[in-house]
Amino acid sequence: MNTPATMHPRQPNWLGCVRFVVGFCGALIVFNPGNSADVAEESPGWELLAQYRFKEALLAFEQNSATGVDSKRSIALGEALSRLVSPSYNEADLPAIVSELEQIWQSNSRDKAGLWAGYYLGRIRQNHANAKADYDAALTWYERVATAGGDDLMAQTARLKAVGLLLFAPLDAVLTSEERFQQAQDLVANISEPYLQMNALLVLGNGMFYRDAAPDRVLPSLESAWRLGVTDPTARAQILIQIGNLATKVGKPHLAADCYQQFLDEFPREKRNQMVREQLALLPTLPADE
Amino acid sequence: MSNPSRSKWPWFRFTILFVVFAAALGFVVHRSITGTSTDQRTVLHVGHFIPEDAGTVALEEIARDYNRLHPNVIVKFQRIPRSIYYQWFRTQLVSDNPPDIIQYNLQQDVSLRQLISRHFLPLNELVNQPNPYNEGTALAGVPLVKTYVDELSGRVAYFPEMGTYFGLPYSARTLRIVYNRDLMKEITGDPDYTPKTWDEFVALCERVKTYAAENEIKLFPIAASQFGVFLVSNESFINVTQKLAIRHDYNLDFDANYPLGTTLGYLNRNWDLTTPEIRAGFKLYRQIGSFMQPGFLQFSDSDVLFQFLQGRALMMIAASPALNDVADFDLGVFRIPGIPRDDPEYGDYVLGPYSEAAHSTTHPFGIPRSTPHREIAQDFLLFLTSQRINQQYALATDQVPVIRGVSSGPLAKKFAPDPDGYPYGLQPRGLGRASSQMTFARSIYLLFRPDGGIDAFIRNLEANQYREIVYRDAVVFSKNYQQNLRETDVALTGRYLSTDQADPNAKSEIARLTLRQTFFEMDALQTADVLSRQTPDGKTVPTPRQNDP
Repeated sequence: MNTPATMHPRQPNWLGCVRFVVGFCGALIVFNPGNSADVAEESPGWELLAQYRFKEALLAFEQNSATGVDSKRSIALGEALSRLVSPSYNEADLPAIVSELEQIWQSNSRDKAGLWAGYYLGRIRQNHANAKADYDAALTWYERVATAGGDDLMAQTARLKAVGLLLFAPLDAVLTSEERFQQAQDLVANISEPYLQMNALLVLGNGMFYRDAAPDRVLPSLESAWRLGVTDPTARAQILIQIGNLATKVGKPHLAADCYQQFLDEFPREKRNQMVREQLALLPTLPADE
Repeated sequence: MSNPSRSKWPWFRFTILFVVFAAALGFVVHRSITGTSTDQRTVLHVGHFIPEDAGTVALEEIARDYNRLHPNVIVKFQRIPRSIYYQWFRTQLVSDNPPDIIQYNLQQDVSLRQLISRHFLPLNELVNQPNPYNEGTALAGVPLVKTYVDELSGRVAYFPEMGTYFGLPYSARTLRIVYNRDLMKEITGDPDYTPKTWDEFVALCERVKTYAAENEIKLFPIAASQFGVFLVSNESFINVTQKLAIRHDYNLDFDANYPLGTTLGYLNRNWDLTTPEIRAGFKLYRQIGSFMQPGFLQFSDSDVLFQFLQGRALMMIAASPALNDVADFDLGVFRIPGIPRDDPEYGDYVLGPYSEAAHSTTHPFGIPRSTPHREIAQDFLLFLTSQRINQQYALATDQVPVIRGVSSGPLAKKFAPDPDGYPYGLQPRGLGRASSQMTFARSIYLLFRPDGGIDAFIRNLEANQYREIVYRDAVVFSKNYQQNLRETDVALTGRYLSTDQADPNAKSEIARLTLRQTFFEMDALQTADVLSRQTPDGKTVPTPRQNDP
């Protein structure tokens, strides 16, 4: 008579181990607090926000709130953001919106909704027209999100925004330009998503320009940004000219020539062509750049 | 004696009348809401502000062509006079039933940008796809954006801060001197005389004055309004401030970033109204003013046009060859010559003639989001911007084409932007926003008065707290930046959470929009930083480098 054991012959121990590992990983995915599954994406409100249809988005989130579509945290986030940009918004609405975002953040600062909420608490400090911008408070919020989110895309976005504040904003914190550069470079080093890294390097390079850094300090940031791939035509034109001019100043005529030539090839009808042609003609003929 | 059966008639008649009235009312309301005509054809309403009759006639012909291709669609154009255009535009957009397509004119009105971004349909998908109406032409298979002569590089159809296209332009405008060929022949002996240098242009103006004096006639070199003075003079002003702009190009991109960069540069005291290059520009204003009809600051554009058409001025400035429609003499056209590098007086300030490559196509047609005929409206815009139809329009109106490969009439050819040349210099007239610009314009009379001059003009601007007004305008810039960043933030979040991040197209779109926001945010933060170092009365505290502890 077949026993259960003979019907299902004993499997080797390694298979059990594999099952355990798979099961454990599955459980981790389900219960991982940083997992994005808890921000549902079904509400049409998000798509309406993407289309700048803020009033309709608010209505959609209010309806979803009643019908139970999406998680409560996601809908609460959507409602708060829609109210922030709604045409009927006024300054008196802000404390309630901030309070809602703080609740989302405090109840779980490591899931997607929590990270978005923290990010917006920073954005409100930075970009709220009616209240005076508080760049130091915004920077603090970006640092909190960056710490809570680790490698999450939101945390990396928060680092990008912090780089901008460090290099351009009128912070109350007393920092030398050198300290600003160092802190910004540390943040950039912790951004791994290529498109965000490229943005951060551009901000770093232009921020160094703004704070009068020497050309040999600015050039590596813009070169690295370029290598990561810049597709936007306006940005490509600007960066090619900037790298060309920086390379000329630091004595890398071949790099300068390549950039100028690429600019002329890509943008045959551009208001800066004549300037670039002249710069190209002025370059000395030198041995290859080191 | 009353007849009971007859007494019912009035009631019956009124019932019939009421039913017929209600049916008619319902029918009319239904038609106006759905845009459906009596025979179930769709009526597409298009609002525009093209003032020339030739333009209206050409558009009507295009509408008929479209109807021949799509018998179920009737396109009805409505011309809106420019005098009421802005009120009309705003009213239509907030109404429930705007036209299906509206032509818009942005200039620098930031509030209009916000109105358009809220109420108009983004056209990114449309502009990145080939125009099917270009099948069989050299532009077949080419994305619509690439079929435009300027690839929609301006900031009118494309809103770089949002990475979004909201309209398809149908006009190209560059500034040219238009002149009366008969008069030119009388004065110079050559109806096609074209000054090649600034000095030759000035000499021509002097010659006209001499000719008028010798013949005792009322003839002036140039007819212009106050705005016209700015337009003629700016051509030389942006010449003599080119090297100044490059000296303050801190990020080495050869771009003065007008108007924000120039405004912040002024507030930062990189330059001021007494800087030699700026004074040189004012001197050129004064010189040009001496060639215009007396009292020119008081004239409207229509007064100026009338004076030119009456033969009381040899030249006037125009942005398109549309005058051809109304003049009963032959017109000639030339570009205002630039100041060369070897000019003995101004040469040290000059890079050379400026490039017109940034003169992008303008006056776009956009689609309000609330139209019930979104797809038909998009299809009609594709038809309108096809090579064949733009060719038809350009020839019928003698306007400058906006689509590649379209040929233009002889006059329109001279209005085609010349991309060769150098970047613009600085223009103090364009600092800040409307308040600064109005303050500047209100004081300009002092520059032209015989007892006035450059110093009187600058003193008057200072007495009117010009720097403080520019500061206040920059505060508005800053608020607008914040408003825009709030909206683009939320829109980006919406896009992020409503799309599948594993989809490379969705991710690449988010990357594109993030980059646009990054550039915009750098401008916003710089504005905030510069403002933080100003006091509202126009005093500047140390620059960021000096501010380092």
